[in-house]
Amino acid sequence: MIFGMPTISFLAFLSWPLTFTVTALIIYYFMAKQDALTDDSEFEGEVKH
Amino acid sequence: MLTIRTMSETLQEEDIRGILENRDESIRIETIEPLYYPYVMLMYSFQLKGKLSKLNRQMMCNVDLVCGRQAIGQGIPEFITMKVEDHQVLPASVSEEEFLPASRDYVFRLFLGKMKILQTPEIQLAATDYFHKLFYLVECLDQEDSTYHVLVDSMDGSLVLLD
Amino acid sequence: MRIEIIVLFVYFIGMIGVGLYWNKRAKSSEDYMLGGRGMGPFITALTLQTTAMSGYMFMGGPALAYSVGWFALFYAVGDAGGGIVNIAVMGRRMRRLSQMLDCISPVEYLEKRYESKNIKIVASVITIFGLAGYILAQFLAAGKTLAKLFDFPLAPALIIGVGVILFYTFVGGYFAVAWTDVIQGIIMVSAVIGVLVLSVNEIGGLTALNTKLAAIDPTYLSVWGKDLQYQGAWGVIASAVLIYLIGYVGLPHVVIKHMAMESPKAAKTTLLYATIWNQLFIFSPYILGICGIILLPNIADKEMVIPELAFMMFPGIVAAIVLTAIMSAIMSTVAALLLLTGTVWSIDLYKRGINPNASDKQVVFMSRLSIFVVGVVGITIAILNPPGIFMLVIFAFGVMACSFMAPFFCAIWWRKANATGALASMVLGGGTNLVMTAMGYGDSAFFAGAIVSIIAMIVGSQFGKKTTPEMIAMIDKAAAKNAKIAPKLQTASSKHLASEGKAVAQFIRNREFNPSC
Repeated sequence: MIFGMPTISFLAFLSWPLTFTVTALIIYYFMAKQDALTDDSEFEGEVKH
Repeated sequence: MLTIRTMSETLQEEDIRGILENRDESIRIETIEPLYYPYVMLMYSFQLKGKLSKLNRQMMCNVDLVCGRQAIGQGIPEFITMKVEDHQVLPASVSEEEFLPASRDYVFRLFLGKMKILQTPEIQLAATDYFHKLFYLVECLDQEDSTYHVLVDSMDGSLVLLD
Repeated sequence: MRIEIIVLFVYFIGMIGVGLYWNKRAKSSEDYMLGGRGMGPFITALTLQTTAMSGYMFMGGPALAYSVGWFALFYAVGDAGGGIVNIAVMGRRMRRLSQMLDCISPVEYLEKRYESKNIKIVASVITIFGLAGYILAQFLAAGKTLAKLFDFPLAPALIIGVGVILFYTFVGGYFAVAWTDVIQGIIMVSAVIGVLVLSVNEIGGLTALNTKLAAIDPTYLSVWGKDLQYQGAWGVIASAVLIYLIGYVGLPHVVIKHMAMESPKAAKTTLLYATIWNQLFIFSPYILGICGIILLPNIADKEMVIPELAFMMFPGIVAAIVLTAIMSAIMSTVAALLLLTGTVWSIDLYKRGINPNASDKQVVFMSRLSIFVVGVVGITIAILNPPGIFMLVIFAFGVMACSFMAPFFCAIWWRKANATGALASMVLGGGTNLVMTAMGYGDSAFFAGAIVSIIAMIVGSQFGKKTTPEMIAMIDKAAAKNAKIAPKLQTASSKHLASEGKAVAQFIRNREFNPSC
């Protein structure tokens, strides 16, 4: 029991904030690596609306 | 020879060379050729009534006369008239019947979407100006000796690789 | 006058003041009117969430948690992770492709990518339908909030609430909506977290919450929900998680954010901010619903858990601000949705489909009319038979997500995806969701609809017109695959010269075959 909940319930419902934050950081890292190799200046600046 | 109206202040060939060499020191430029691209500049005025009249404005819409694409223009340049060779001018293929209603819809839609005021504005076409913009067509060789082309805008030096 | 009413008015005047201030300041810049500069990843992430949530967040989520216990958090799980999936998968490529296709609306994007007018019609209809459902849910939330604030019965509260929303919509565009959104977002989040902290504290902490919950009924803590009603129901759990985890990919009003991003490289930062931001408050409304089980055991309307708790925890004036924040968050969301609906109807469908010779007056009239109609119909349905807000939002999301997920995803990840596949996907995917919900299988409707839409896309794309080579070239370009020319030169290649480039390329090809000099 964690925090008064069955362990499986805790994992199923409340482990996510940590999981997602870590995942986001990992994905950020990989996206940054990709972005460094990509030339996007034609897409930068104002989007014409 | 054709007589056209085009911008007076433009970049020259040396400037273009400089811009390209700045991007790629080892660029191999074969030729630089001027090309004149047809546009029409449409000035629309939007009038709203009453309190909203402070939102009255003009919108300048430039239409590319080869593909018909519209773009909002910023600022009016100075024009001069000159004669150029026929092969240096791209032929326009969009007629007035085609671009007038399309441009009107384009600016109207933009106005509606951006202003978010649900009052019908009175739209008037205040001015129509045909002109050509000078582009430089640069032919280059790549590391494998194949030809590729770069089109450079003579107004701001922006460029596009042609496929 | 009751303090709540004073607070409400002061709040609205404050928002209007902020809006007017920014509007005056920005008036000199044409760019701002044309919706130019992005506001940076932090603000984008914040407004992404506030636009997406509002009425559902404050009312629907807690009500579900109140009914089934911790199980309700499966809906939060998908939501909390949805931003990651959505931005990582769609963000950059879609930003590039939408600029290349030169479009400003999601419907237009689909129409141009799949090179088909039929797509535009079908997509417009589904968009209007889906948004209408979502808007209806917001109307209900607004009405109930006002009813709580003013102690009115529901019907007049609804009419006032919707009236305010319509007023804001008509005049709202004039104001600098973005900044008011930011302020409202911050107040909203502070309010929710504030109520949460105080409520959990009142109960005695997380462990105490669960212990007390177990004392009432241990199945509240079960992964299968209260009374183990969802035991073994993997379809339901999958739907709950997936509907937000991947469903966001299909929502037009979310998709439009990718298109308006300031640059593809902003995507990763937006993703990070959005994720952290989301963890902070997506779970909160549901947990508040669970607190409600303990603190408000005899509540009359489950959807009022948060307002009731707010009044319980905070002194009157703070509670009034909390509720006012809810009200205005709802309003700004609805205003944006109503305008989107009005534009899709009046321009994409009416002007470009039904009556191409429509005058400007007619188009504007149509826009206003559609907004009014949605308003009146919304009020009528809501007064006659108010369905639960949560189910309404899920339904609207579900239909839109099932219809559009595959088309938006495949637009950039599968070159072979064509108009036939996209049409089949939209109609069959959305249709499955609709039918299953109508037949009472709403819980699994999303899961089923998603599967059908994917199959329909794959099968449908085997038929009909193939994707043109020009489009394939653009898709590759959006994937940032570059060729053998010097990188810095490719970097410098401007997209705003794209059509001129194409035209000149054609011109010189013609010249090669027909030299005239």
